[in-house]
Amino acid sequence: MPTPREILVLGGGVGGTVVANLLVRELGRRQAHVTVIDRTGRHVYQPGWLYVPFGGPPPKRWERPERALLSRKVDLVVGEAQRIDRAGHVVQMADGTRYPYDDLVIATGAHLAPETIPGYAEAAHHFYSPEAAVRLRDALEGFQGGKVLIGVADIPYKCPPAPLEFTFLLDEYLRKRGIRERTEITYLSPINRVFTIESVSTFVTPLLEERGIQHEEFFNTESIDPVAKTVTSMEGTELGFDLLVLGLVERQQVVLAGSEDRCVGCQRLPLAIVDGADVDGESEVRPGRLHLAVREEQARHNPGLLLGQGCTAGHVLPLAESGEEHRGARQADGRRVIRVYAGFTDRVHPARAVLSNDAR
Amino acid sequence: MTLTGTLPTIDKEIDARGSFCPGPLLELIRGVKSVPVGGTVAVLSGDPGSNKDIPLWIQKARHEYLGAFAEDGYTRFVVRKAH
Repeated sequence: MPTPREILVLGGGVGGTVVANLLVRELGRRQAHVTVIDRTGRHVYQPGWLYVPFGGPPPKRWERPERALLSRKVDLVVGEAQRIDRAGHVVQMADGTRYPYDDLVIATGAHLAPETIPGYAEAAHHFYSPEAAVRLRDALEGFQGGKVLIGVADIPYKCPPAPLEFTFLLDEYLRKRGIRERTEITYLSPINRVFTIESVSTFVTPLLEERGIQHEEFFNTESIDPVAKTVTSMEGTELGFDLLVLGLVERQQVVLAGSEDRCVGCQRLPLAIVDGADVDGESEVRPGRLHLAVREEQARHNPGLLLGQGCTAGHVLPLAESGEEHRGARQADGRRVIRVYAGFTDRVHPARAVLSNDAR
Repeated sequence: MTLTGTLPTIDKEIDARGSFCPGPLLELIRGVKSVPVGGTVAVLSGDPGSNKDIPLWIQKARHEYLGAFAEDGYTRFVVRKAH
């Protein structure tokens, strides 16, 4: 009997969890032994943080033990992966432990980089971490009216529709509190329409206007003055605010630092980007292709390696991806990995692994 | 309008072929951020939407548009960072 393939999955977020569960479900123990390595052992459903500022369920509500979400056939290691040795097919942990692999799935996601915009840390709010979402909730509770600006600090940022969703939720929240008429809301977009997808933009713009929400196009945040409470764009526009909510720029996870490597096939596509290296654009490793094309090409050239969505889209391109795209991409991830090993039946819904826990 | 002829000197070139609107524009914005004032940035785009949104942004941001140069199946948009 052939030895099962040793598959390591770095990261127990939605992507890593879904892929791991799909792999064992479809391949079985004879074909694959799957291990998830996760830093905390806590699975966090990040989209839930959007509702925290408006008095929604607290951040803890959006967490589960990763173990409870994984199939019993998947092993879980809680610890910090430090370096990927692609040549040796080994992942080295911070505590020195080494995990060999035949195939590696990198689903470490992205980390936030508030330091890229001067003044951000002092003056801007966001909802991309539990702490920040709670801080914004507190700020909103004390808010009695004034100027609110909502936009993005830089590109890429997590979940493209999130700032728009936040804008509509805020409008509703302020109306319920009876202070909407004392508040001026302006939505800032980095491009020449309110959303990247033109048809969505055409649909959403009148909805903003019906609610008296102003919108400013071509606003790419350059700096924030926390004392004067103004934000300036690359395009030269300066706006004042009482409350500033800006989607945060994301960068490659640190686990990949030091593991930078080029695609073995074309020698061009990055397999990993050194943390922060592309902040100033000096380390040009982005291939400038749509992420799905990139991922397909990566898969073709690097059959032992798969990068999760947060590890590629946001870094390979300045376009972040939405939850809906995530879902599609994870389906594609899981299916593609499985296709490599076995005949794949198309019946498994990848979100089921996560959703089933809530349904129990 | 698409130009042919001599290309200006390019300090930074970004290949955004295969990326759909507004990907090439966002690539260009990041590129402009990363070069010093006076530097030139080119972005390669195969998306027809770029013909509209790239010149619009350059005008709004008050940089210098050096033109769109037709290549085989794509266009090279060139801008000089003015401030």
